[in-house]
Amino acid sequence: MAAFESAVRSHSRVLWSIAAAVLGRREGAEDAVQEAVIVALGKRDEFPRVENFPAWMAQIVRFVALNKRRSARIRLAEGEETLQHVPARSVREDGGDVIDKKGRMVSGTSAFDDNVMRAINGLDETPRACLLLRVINDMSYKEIGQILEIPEGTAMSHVFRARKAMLQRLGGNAAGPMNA
Amino acid sequence: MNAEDPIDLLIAYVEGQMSADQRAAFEKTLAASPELRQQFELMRRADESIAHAFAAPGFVQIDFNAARATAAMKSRAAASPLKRWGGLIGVAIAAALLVVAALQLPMFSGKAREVLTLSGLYDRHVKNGFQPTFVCNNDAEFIDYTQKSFGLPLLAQSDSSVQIVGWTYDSAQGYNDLGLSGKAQIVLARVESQPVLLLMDKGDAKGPKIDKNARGRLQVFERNVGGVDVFEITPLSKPMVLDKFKVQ
Repeated sequence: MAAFESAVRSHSRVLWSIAAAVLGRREGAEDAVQEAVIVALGKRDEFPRVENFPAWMAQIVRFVALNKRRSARIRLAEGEETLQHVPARSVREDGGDVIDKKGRMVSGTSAFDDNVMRAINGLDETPRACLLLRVINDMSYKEIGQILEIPEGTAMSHVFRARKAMLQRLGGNAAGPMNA
Repeated sequence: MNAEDPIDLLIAYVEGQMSADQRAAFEKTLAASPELRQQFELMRRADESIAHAFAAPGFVQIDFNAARATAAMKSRAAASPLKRWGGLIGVAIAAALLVVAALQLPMFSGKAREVLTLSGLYDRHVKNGFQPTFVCNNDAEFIDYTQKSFGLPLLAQSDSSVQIVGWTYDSAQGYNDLGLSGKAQIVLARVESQPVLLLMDKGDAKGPKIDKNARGRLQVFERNVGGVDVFEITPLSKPMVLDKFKVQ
């Protein structure tokens, strides 16, 4: 049991990120990891056969988070319901304009952050997880592939396509006035 | 990646996927293009926003004591009243054995792992109370889940004799042992109270084989539904759930 706990703790932040990626928000991610530990303990007879423990736990976390997401009926396609969970950042403390002189939206504003969240939640679960593990946890494509049990090249493709999709979604919004 | 697409090149640059010469050449392109610099800045600010919104806590709070207690309670709840006392003693023995077994986990001891067999998979789920990892709350969720898993909207509905209990899964290595691809899914069902497993796969794998512990005890029936292979693992002499799966 000590070995199990130690293994979970050492990967807890990555597991948290995976939960947050599936949920599309940080709230509930810790609960999802806790529930995944309960599920994992119920499958303890699998431990002798598990070769890739982080990937095995990551799969449990993904399914638990997926079930929580469905149970809460959060619609992530448009991202509206997630917006209330995103702590809006205040306008820049230096009093800078929300819109710059060329009419582009400036980060550090809640509207830009909201649009980023919409764009993130517009991605499918696996590309979103790949992007978050890359940006938040600074994982290599190989590490992402190992934990999500996908080829390294696929992990890289997901990150590339996720970034491109994000730019396409944000590029249209950023060029115009701030959304209400 | 399209080497002619400046956005693709920009992403490769940000992702550190360029050689030193390529970086130098691209930085000249970047310096000369206000539009490309705008996209670069947009990507940088999006990363900043993501880092703020999804920053993992410094310490993820996990209560292992509560988790163990809940897992034990679920295990007891799955047992019948007559077995409950035996179950409690079994939990105590299992806990002691787990301490010993944990010290011999393959990733720590380097020992060879046990191959997952059909009977092993079936018996494990029965022993664990045949509890699904998650359930679909309605037909729409079931269809949505199969659409996302296999690219095909499938539905299997319960009726008076067949109860679809829920979904679960195994590790990629477990699926490999069973002759399945990493895309496989497991459905738990009960046919007149008998536990039945459905293994669903859209890969190129061969599918599960009857191992010696399953012979005479379990049957495997197979059906292809719209390109998805569904294997019914059952103690009954004929398949009762396969025909419930229909493409919507």
